[in-house]
Amino acid sequence: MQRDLKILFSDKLTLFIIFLNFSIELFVSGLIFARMVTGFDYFLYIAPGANLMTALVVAFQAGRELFVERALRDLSAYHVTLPVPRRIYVAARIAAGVAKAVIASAPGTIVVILLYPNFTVFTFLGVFLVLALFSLAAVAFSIMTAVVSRRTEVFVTLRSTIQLYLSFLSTVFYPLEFFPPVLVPFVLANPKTWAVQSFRDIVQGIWPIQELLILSATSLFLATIAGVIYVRATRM
Amino acid sequence: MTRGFYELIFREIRVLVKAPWIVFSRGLFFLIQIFVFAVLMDRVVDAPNFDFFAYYSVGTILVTISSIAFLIGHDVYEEAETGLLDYLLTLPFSRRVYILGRCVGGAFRSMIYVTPMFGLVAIIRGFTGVVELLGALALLFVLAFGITGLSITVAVTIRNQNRFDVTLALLELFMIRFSTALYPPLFMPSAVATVSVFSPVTMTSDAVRAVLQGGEASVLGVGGLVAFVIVFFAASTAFYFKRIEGGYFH
Repeated sequence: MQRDLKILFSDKLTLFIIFLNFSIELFVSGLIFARMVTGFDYFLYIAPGANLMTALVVAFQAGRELFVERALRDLSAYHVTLPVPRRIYVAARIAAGVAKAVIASAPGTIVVILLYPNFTVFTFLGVFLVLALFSLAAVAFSIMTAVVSRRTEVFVTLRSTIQLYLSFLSTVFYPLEFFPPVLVPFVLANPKTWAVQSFRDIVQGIWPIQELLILSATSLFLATIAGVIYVRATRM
Repeated sequence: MTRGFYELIFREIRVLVKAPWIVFSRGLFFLIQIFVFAVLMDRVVDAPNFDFFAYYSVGTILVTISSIAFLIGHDVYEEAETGLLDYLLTLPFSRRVYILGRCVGGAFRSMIYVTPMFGLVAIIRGFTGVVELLGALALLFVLAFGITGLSITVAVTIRNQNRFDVTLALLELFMIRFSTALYPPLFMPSAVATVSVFSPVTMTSDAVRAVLQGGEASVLGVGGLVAFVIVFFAASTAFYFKRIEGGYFH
């Protein structure tokens, strides 16, 4: 974990650029789209989603690093010779990915929380819990993608397809009632839908127990599958 | 010069043909943008006298071609990392031809990707004038050529992989979000509207929309687009030369 976090902090400019990306998403695109919508406050509606987008991008960098180590630089053989049991090694890589996503998106998270009035310490805790749970799901997807891909184009394709699904077939940009019935099951199966909904509720002072439970179950399930696949992949 | 130049262009196209996965993912991206995002946002957007779907459908073409033209930077970066660049430089053509071939090839590759999508939008929106369609495609080609140069410039100036990825994503985001590709200037805050005037994507977006609707593209806009191409072709050439001659690998 320490190694992965060192890689993240070794390049502070990248962290700044990540925040800049978030700022453009929210304060340019979000603001402009909000001016086109009059029925509700679209700016506040889209703000949590813009932040989760940052977490998603950083989580997929964990997968990219893993893919480069495995497929391009052949570093995996060295890593598995280290005196660490495979399961702990894999769990640490997943945990490091989550920590990186949470740390890199923390400035954006604070900005979003401050947009809402009446925030408390529980708002902070709740929102960071949502961020961590969503990052766990995203890291799990990214690790599965990295482990099953042997060629760059396959990895890139899988990564963009998953990101497309997580971003556009969720309630980040539009409420659930706007989706045609055929797409609703896909939207409900999307962890980002539950993450963004929980985020919106928490910043408004509501504790969405049901949404949080669904998000936790989905994320843990995905992380378990990713862990099993990754452990198997480390066997020669 | 000529043979090497064409070989380089064909190589870029062969890379495309050999990567059906990428074509699939970009095609899927485009279809979701049009048939999910644009359709659903059209229901959310309720600004009077504004057809979001109609506006966004043309914008998606610009977003797609920009994002595909940016891809060449990843190729150049990876070639340098894996050592393939060293081999390419031993081939019998000059550095200048090599760089020009990469830029033109990258732009052609982007056009091959985007033309079917452009055709689909033309059918949906009812754009049928052949001259207008060809004019719009020519403008898109010029944009793709310029972005290819920009992307190569970034690829040869940044050595850290994560920083390269994030910087390229930021540039792409900056060029697209600060432009009239996705939203008209009417809805932009004044600061964004001012910056967007200088974006090559805005220049292309305005020109393409004008041409498709049977009007004339602004000379200033097209001039700005050509200037963007010249600047970044020159920059990519200069930086590429510097990297190559300075030695990428040590």
